[in-house]
Amino acid sequence: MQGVNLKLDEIRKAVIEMDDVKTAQLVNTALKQGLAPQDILNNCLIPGMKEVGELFTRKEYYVPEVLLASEAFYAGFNIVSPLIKSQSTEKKTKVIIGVVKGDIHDIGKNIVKVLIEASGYDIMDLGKDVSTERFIKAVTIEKPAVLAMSSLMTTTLVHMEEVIKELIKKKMRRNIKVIVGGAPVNEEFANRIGADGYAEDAMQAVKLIKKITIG
Amino acid sequence: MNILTIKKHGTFKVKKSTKLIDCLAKNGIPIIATCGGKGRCGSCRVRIITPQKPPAERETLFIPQSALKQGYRLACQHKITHDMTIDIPRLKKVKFTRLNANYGLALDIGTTVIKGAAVNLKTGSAEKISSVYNLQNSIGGDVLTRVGASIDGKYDILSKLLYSSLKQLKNCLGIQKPAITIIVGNPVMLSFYLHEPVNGFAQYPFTSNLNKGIFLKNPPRYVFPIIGGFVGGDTISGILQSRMHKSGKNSLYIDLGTNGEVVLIRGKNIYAASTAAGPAFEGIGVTCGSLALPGAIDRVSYAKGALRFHTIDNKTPIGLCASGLIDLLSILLERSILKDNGRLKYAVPISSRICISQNDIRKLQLAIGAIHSGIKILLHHAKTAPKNIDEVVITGEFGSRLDVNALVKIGLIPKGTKKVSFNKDLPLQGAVMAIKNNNIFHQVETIREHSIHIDLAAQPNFQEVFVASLKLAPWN
Ligand code: B1M
Repeated sequence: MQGVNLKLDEIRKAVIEMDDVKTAQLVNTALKQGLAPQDILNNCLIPGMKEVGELFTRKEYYVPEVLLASEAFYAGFNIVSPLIKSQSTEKKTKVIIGVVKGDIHDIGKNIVKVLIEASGYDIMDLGKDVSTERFIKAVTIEKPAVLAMSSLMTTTLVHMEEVIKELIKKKMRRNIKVIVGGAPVNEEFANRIGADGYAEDAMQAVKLIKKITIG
Repeated sequence: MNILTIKKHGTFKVKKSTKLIDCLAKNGIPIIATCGGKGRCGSCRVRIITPQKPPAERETLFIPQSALKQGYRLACQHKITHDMTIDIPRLKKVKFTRLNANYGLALDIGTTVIKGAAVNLKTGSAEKISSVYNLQNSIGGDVLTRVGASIDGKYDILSKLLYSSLKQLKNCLGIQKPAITIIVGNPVMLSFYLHEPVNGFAQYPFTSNLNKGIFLKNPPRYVFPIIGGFVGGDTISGILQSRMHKSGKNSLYIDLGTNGEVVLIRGKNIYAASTAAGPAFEGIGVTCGSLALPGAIDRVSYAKGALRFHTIDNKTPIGLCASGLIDLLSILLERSILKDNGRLKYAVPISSRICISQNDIRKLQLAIGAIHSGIKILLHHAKTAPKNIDEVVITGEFGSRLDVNALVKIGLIPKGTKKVSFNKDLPLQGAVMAIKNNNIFHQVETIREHSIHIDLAAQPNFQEVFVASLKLAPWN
């Protein structure tokens, strides 16, 4: 039993150490040993990425480390996820993310996206320079639980409010939680435009989504 | 609402918790603040008569005890919380010895500070150089915020504030009606100057119609063209002054400011981009940072197990300006206190008040990475490599001098460059040169015609290049 535990911990460590080859190898070994893919995901890969997120919050890890660690995470995730999909019926919470119109700064959004996905959410990424119409269309079709918008420029913040107003106009606001983030965004702004929350960094975004989607 | 009474100026209604310096700027009352109202220069001194409050620690750095006792404070450090009465020390009277007809005026309109030179038309030399705080700062510290404010109906106010600042500058220079004025600056500032709309700068793809130099009559003026996007007439002027466009060599031009313009010249082609580096090298957003002002640490060395600092004018250290920050990063890397991935072992104390933290490093890393990746992408477009660069010219507000080895070590410039030179005010000097030299306009247009604006936002592999460029290590 102890040997198995060791392997689990090694997978978590390989993610934190940003080693994609090792992560994949260890995951395959663990599967051969009979470990459930769901357990590998929930007890190794996700906790590993979560710790990466914490290290990032503490500024010990930075953008390159998070992106490298996410490659390690996906190396394992891509092995276990098809095995899980075929057995589980449990539905994941859906989140749509995108950078608002006129803004192409997407590195921060990409990091937020990785950590949300690594925390077990079903994420759909609309990319950057996303028009209000595209956001609305995506929400109409996909019916996500959460819409996450990012903006890095003060001049494009207005589009966040625009999207929220459009959701209200289309009577779609009540069925969805809207969160916002990006360097020029703050709590006060989020409240003013009627968002459900603001997150300062990627890890906060994950915690926020968890909080507002409960119940 | 509170009442602000300013002796000899009158009373003004002001919104509660507005910064005092902003109230002054909004009401058109001239005040000098070279650092842009960030509590880093001590030039925005006023005498607060009521209410009396003990000085902030910052203020004791800049104002002698005797003046503090009389109520002298820094206007940028006080918010209006009650009715207030103040007195503004009279600006030193300038004698109008200059005969306007014999003088030209060179202007570099910056977002934070506007610089000007009074140029003797006979000798061609800049006899006096001055700078003033851009009063538009009261509406917002960066160009984009001001563009946003214009869209919200504040265009006319911003325009007025710019012209009040220019008037102040002319007063400082003692030159009211120059025979000719040459104007350089970033695209947004030039648009305000020309009363052109700025809405195009609010979002992608950032368009304007300043692609040709403009001659104006009554009074006679020439406004430099821009290259494109956020690369302005100041960059053309800097290139002009550096003479890189004529050297026939491969050269690289870097402006170490917020916009972080980089230009690569290869043969006839001039590739230019703005890298959006952010204001970290101007000391903004970096807790231990400072503009290059008296008291800023401009050189750092390491000897006998300790860091040694040199400050501008040998004053008590207030923070590190760009040259000091670059020295420090390189020493920390060398001593393995800082890893090339930006991980700092511990916060390093600089003085009793200042230390460099992990967060500071991350901010600097973004700025360095932005410039590094901009250079790499230009090299790619020009189909050349760092080893072919003959010369690098760096301009900006960096302090005294930059250390080439340190610049290479932190990865700001590629290694193996043959010659690196530094010059603080290239854009302004270029404007001065244009006053002396009548056939310069032709050269300006030629630079403009050969310029190719590279939009970094449109590079499909930008993230990959940028993330790799965050490494604080030599590259080629
Ligand atoms: C929904 O929930 C959430 C929750 C949290 C969320 C969230 C959503 N989204 C983000 N978060 C949060 O979590 C993330 C991780 O913790 C964080 O994300 P961040 O994005 O903050 O952090 C990233 C991990 C790292 N940070 C970054 O990636 C941004 C770095 C800097 C250097 C920067 C870069 C790299 C770029 N830029 Co630009 N750029 C600057 C930046 C200056 C700086 N030193 O910061 C900034 C943002 N840029 C700016 C500008 C003006 C511009 N840029 C431009 C272009 C570019 C590049 C193309 C060169 C490149 C972007 C490439 C890309 N694909 O993203 C232009 C605009 C392009 C456009 N249409 O958008 C241009 C207009 C100017 C130009 N010179 O060309 C400035 C904005 C100023 C303002 N007032 O708004 C700027 C602050 C620099 C400055 N001048 O001071 C949090 O904010």
